[in-house]
Amino acid sequence: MWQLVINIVYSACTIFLVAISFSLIFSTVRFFHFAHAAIITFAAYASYALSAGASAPLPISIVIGLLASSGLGLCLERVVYRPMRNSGASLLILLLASLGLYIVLQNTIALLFGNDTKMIRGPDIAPTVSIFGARLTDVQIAAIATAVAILLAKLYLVDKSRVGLSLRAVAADPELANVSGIKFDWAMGVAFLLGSFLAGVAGVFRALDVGMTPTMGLPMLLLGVVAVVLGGVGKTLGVAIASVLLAFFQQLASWKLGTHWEEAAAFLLLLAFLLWRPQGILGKTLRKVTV
Amino acid sequence: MSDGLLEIEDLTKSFDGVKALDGFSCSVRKAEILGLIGPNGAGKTTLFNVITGFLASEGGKAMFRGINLVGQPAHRIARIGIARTFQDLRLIRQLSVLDNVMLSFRNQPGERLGNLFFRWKNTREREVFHRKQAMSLLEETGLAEKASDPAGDLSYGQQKLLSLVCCLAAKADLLLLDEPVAGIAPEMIERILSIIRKLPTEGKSAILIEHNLDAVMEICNRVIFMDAGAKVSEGTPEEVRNDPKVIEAYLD
Amino acid sequence: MEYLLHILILIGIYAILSVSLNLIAGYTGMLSIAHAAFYGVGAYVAALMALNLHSPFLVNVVGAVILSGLLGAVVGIPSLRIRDDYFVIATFAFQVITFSVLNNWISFTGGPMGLPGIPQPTIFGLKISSHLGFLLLVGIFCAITLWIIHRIVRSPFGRVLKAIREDEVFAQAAGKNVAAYKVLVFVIGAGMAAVAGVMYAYYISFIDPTSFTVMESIFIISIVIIGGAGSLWGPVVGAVVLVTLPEFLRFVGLPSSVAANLRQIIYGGLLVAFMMWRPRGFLGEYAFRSGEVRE
Ligand SMILES: Nc1ncnc2c1ncn2[C@@H]1O[C@H](COP(=O)(O)OP(=O)(O)O)[C@@H](O)[C@H]1O
Ligand SMILES: [Mg+2]
Repeated sequence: MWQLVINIVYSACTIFLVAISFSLIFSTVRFFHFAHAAIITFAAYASYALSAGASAPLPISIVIGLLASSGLGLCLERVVYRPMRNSGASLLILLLASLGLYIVLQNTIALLFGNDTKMIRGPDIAPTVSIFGARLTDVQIAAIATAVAILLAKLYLVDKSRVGLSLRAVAADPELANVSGIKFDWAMGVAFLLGSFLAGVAGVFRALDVGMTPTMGLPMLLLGVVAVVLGGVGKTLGVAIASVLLAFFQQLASWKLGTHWEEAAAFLLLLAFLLWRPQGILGKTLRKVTV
Repeated sequence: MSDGLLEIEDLTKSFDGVKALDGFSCSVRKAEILGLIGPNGAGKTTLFNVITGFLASEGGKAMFRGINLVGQPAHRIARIGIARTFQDLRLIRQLSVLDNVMLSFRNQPGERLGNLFFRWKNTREREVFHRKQAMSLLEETGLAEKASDPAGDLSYGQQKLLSLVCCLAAKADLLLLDEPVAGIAPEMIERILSIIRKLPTEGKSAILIEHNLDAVMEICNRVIFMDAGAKVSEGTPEEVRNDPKVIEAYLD
Repeated sequence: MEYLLHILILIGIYAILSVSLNLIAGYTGMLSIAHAAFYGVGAYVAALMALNLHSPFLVNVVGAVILSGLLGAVVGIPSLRIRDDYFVIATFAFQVITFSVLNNWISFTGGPMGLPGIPQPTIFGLKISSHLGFLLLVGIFCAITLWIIHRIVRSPFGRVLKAIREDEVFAQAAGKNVAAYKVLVFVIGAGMAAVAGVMYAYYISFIDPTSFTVMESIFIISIVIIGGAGSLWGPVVGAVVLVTLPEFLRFVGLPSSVAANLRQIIYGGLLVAFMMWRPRGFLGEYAFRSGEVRE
């Protein structure tokens, strides 16, 4: 029983990390940045390359890996998305470009590192801790602690800080009526930098926990997207609640139907929400095409 | 009121608690032009949106030829004889002027999938027929030489004219015209007004929302002044113009 | 020679896929990433019918089209409530779920092991076994698809579709039943994708879920967009370019594992480049816009 609860908590935390990183970007730029999936993967492989390839100490490899994924996110924003936006590309065109970017990045990683699962550290050094009889590895505990810390930080620091406020000013003003170009570009940069960093965190935890593959980012991102849609875009608390709900639902599905139905179950939930309550749990009504 | 074409009773619509329509009632007779005036935000456009099914009324009814329009989908209302223009000017800007007019004909066999494959000959004949009709409409209204240009390339005034032509193509009995001459050049205003003026002679009715009071006074048989979603005054253009409540509202 | 025929057959199959997706996405403006799902359902229905019921080829085509068309209606329904990127996500969800069913409903679909041993098709007593025969078959179905799409888009029906793409409100005010058109277009597109699936299943004689992934869906939409959405021949051009271009890698003599990744990098890069500099593609008449929000 406890093991089940702990499993749900852990899986909710991993979903939340991706979801909050995606939500940060999506609520600001408002297009689906699919290449975010590759950012998740990239952080893991960058850390791996440093620690396994250049035999740097693990913590340092991870920090550099995270910074590198931030840098890559910012780079995509500056080199690809911003020029497109400035030339008036629609949100759907940006979405399609991001799909292309994802394909390029994911396959480049596969070319460089191969398709097999890579471990960032040997499986032998994964000490487990027992909490009320439920077993957890140190990585899992660290992931849970990080997710909770990020949730609290997002709620009480970022959302209330000047950076958070200006991000939200941009997010709340789709026509950009009251936001200057400079402010918008700046908000965009910050969103990509922070969002890509958090995505990297999710990717590295995943790699530490079960290892990495070049395609691991997309299913992770998609689950995160489900949580964002369920929770309401830009609603930190909503996304957190949705992550728990989604983790619970997935556990339920995997218990009742088998592990391999987890993904289908998550997407069924997404469809139900899109049709029934597209604004998410806590969101306000979506704007529709109206007269 | 046996000659009432459209009988509106008690329509109500609110946005976030603000009543845009507050128990609005009126009627439109056959072959008359009803002017609808009132300050910005009075609910005039909302009335059109409710009548044409783009917004759901929270109560009341709108009877048109024995059918209650409230609750009907927009496309069905458009098919039973009501055509409209939009205040913010809607056209298919990427399609040609001619295509916009042709799109506006109702009941085209070529719009049904089966007919494309099983009644192709008849379908094509109807299309040719509609094309002729559309061209003659464009000729009558002076847009013929622009027929193959994208609608978005027309001037603002020409686009407003085109959206009126689209309403004519609909062969509707009732036209709802939302500020058809706002913001355009005087000679284009005259062209558009002359088309509207002719509607009653063809047995058609119209509700005309317009801020240009001279135009309203000249071509409307009857005028309603509305404010805050409700009717304030109704009568002949003269009566409404001289109604103290209207004068007061306009002085405010 | 066989190799050349093989490439032409693939082009034919992808032409059917992209031309039919173009009807949904390019002409009607519903950007869908679920086309590989319809493709897969078509392939699986035909394969299962051929293997279990031993029914003749043309019957299987009809069965595949009907089932996939029904699924198309289901996917089309969300387009009535949600739009733009949310709709893309909804189609994405359908794609993931379909793949998951193909992959996990092992007793029915064979799961990851797939369905081997699909018999060679027989049409009017004629057994098709050579590459040339398959090319002819695919060519015929491709021509039929193109002819149907041609007739649709050059008709008043097609005019309504373009109107829906540009401004649903105007289309409704002109008396067009937008909801019905959208669902119908999805049914048509899905049915045609199923035909491509049937061709593929019979041609390869073995199918497994990896041919019908999210990535495959993205590949098909890339063909449409790079070729040119909203133009009749654009997707055909796109299919020719995107299917043949990576084949040149073969001649450079790269190992197949590298070639597979490079192939993807090429089309992903092309997609980015086109979106940046030529969002209408080679022949396109339409660049995807998001619905204008008016209040
Ligand atoms: N789609 C809508 N959403 C929210 N509020 C609206 C909408 N349409 C109109 N309103 C509000 O309803 C009121 C009436 O608007 P409208 O009918 O456009 O007035 P008019 O056409 O007379 O100028 C206004 O207060 C307006 O802000
Ligand atoms: Mg108005």
